[in-house]
Amino acid sequence: MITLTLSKLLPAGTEYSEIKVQENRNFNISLLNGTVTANSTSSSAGLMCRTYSQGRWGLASSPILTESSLQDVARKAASNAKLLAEKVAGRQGVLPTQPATGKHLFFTARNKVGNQQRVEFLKDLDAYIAGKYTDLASRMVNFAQLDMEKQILTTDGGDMQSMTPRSMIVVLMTILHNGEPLQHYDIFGGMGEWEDHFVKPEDLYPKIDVIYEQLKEKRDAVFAKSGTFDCVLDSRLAGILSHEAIGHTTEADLVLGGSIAGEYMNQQVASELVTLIDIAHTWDGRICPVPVFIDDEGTEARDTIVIENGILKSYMHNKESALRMGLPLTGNARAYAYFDEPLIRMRNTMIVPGQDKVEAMISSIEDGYYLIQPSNGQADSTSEFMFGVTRGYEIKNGVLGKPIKETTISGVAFDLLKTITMISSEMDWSCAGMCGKKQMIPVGMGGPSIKCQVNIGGKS
Amino acid sequence: MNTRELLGSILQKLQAGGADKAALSYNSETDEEFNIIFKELNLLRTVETNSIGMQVIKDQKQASTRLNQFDPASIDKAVRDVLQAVENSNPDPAFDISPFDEGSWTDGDLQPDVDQVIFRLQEFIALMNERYPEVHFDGGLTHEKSYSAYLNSNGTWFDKQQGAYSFNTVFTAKKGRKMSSMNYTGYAVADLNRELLQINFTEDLIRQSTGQTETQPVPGNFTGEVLVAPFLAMELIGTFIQSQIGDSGLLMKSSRFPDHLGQRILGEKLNILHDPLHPDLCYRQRYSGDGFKTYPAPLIENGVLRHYPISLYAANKCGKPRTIGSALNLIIPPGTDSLASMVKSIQQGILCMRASFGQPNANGDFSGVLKNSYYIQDGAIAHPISETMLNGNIVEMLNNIVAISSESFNLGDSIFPYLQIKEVFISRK
Repeated sequence: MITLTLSKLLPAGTEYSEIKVQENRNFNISLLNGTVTANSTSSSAGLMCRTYSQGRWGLASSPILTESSLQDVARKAASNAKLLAEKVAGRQGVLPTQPATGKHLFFTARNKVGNQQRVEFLKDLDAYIAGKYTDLASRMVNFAQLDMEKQILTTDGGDMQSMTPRSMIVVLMTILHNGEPLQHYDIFGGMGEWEDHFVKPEDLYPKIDVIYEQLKEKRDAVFAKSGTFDCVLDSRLAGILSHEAIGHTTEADLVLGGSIAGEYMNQQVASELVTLIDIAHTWDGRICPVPVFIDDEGTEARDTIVIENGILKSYMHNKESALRMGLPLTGNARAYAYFDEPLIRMRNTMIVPGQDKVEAMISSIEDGYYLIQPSNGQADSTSEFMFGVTRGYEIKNGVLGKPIKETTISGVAFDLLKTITMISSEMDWSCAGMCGKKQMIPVGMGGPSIKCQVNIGGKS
Repeated sequence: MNTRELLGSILQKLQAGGADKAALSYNSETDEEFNIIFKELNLLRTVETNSIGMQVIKDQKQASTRLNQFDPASIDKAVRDVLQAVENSNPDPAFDISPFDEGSWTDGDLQPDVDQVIFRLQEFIALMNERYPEVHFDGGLTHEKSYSAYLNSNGTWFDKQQGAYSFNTVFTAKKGRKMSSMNYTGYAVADLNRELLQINFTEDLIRQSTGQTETQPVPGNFTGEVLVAPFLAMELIGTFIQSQIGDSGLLMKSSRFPDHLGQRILGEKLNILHDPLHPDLCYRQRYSGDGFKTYPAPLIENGVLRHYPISLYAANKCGKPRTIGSALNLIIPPGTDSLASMVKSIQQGILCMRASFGQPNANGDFSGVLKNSYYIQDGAIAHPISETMLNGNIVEMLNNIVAISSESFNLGDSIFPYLQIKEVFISRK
């Protein structure tokens, strides 16, 4: 990425400004039934200035990466803020500050692998699937990598450089059963570049075998019964629940916009077993899927303990929400592209593991479901949520039963959290979370498995 | 160097490097985006973006790249990289580019009327605060000016300039500790001659949210009729197209209708048109991503599949003619029944304004949580609902349409009415 000497370009005499140079790089290779249907790269680089004046924000951006372009953008950002301040009565208030400086560059330490080797690796995976599983109607092997590289300087002393990569391989299989298509997939990889995850194709063969075995199970799958049941939610579902249904309601911009969590501060909102944290960068000594050491407003990123032993304790903030609510900064301001403004975004949201074993959780349920793999999920500011479930099983008399067809679960998350009676001791992160709050952005979601009561959609 | 010369010079480099065929796309856009945050005009963004895409075919192998730095060194590196990548791919006779054609278009006002943007937003804020003080809202009004161009090695050249305004708002009503589900709406328009609240029933949606702070589940599980609002109809039909008659469904062999041209696959009341020339649209797809001019045509005519909306690659791969391509300007013509008369006709059902649903599985089964929606009993809206789910199959639902409303939402690039669908299973917590 082109770097500029930002310090001499920082606008002077503004209440607050930030300038940023950013490049997002995407790599994508896709094989569909053996054909390389996509072998592509893309890069989007540019610079941005955002200025705060009399309670209004102005932002301007340009893909032209020169000092004069940045000066033009800074002037435009200031004039945009001034225009709004002239049209709308200004507000007083000094933005809070908690600046940090540092470089956090997660380039791979391994030898770089070229496009040819990557394509050959994926062709190997495809050939393995085609050779071993001849009854598939179709197969897809897809690789995607996103590198986000940023350089940000703020007038309150924030100074950061970051490069955060994420790389994933998705394997999707389709079979026809009684004339109906059945599909199953899984995702491998996570934070890091290709080289950090994918060394030998053979390493993935056992995981591919599991996808096929789980796909075959779907031939015998039954419809889930509709209604409310005791369920064990695997960590992937517990993670998406933490993010979508609880996390969003506690983002301070949504609290200011009327979120139900605005009514619950310091109140019991969950079982006492539940502690829910938005981790900035490190959990249990390990770097999380989306490590944020300094946010896009130059603020030091700290863990936000949202719920502690069932009590709602904190919201997530950027500078403006912290000013409006008179609360400390948390370092949750993040933007996706060079031209985007930082929004309050979660980083790595999780329920803290407990003491139980998944096997004991399953055996404690007489009639319910073990729900394992989510597809998409949505929630709103009431905390009412919906998640697709692509893999799960009946639980009958404490024992796993038949696999269930794809279904949807729903409920009010703050109600669901109160029904949690067991939390498992293991911890697992999803490697592929993307959140779409105005801008798409990578997020980490994870946690243990939880036992709770869930409303299930079904055909009976 | 103008855009055509720039793309022409890149095309020459690709051909000199061994490309048998190549296609180039150019996009640049300037947005003036005025944002309402916490009920106030709070942020003005001026956003400039651009990009050049390169698609290369050599020995029937394909690769592509996209970049947004246009200095000679960046372009030369991108050319080298994509020519190397194409060597690493494998051949497929289905890869191709469009035959020669040309066209040039300008749609809409290219310059924003900033004073009118601010006037309409301040008017919106004032009316909202006056009429709906219990409603929390954010929103934005953006003037989008874009220029796009396409050049390929068969000599095809298209370019298009476009200007339009797009509006969106997100809102929640809150009375004490009771609140409605969040709702949202948005649309694009060619000009700002009307109040933002008066376009596309926006004010009706906001007014509805004020009555949705008190909800009840439906009395019990039942199979009944559902009135699907235009936004949701658009989502369902978009999902159907992608999974059943578009590139994804056909290439993945997960479509239930892989060879059904001329056959009735949906309810005979349903017509779905691709009409980039429709006079009421402000965003027109003048040419497609695979380099073809667009033209009006039916996808579905009285339930009969008339065209597969698929790309050149998918058409070649599946042995079908490439006709209308990936259709963006979708129109469902309005019916003759008013929404009010449709409600009256329903003994037990749901007015479904929004639903939050998971990706349907490959055969079309899905469940969704109903949001901002109402229980209908004995021909009248009984009450707003919560914790209620819709369970169905997209294909079956689109085969069970009993009426289409005379009212439509115009989103700027597509137009959808309400759909009345029978035999949908509704379940409660």
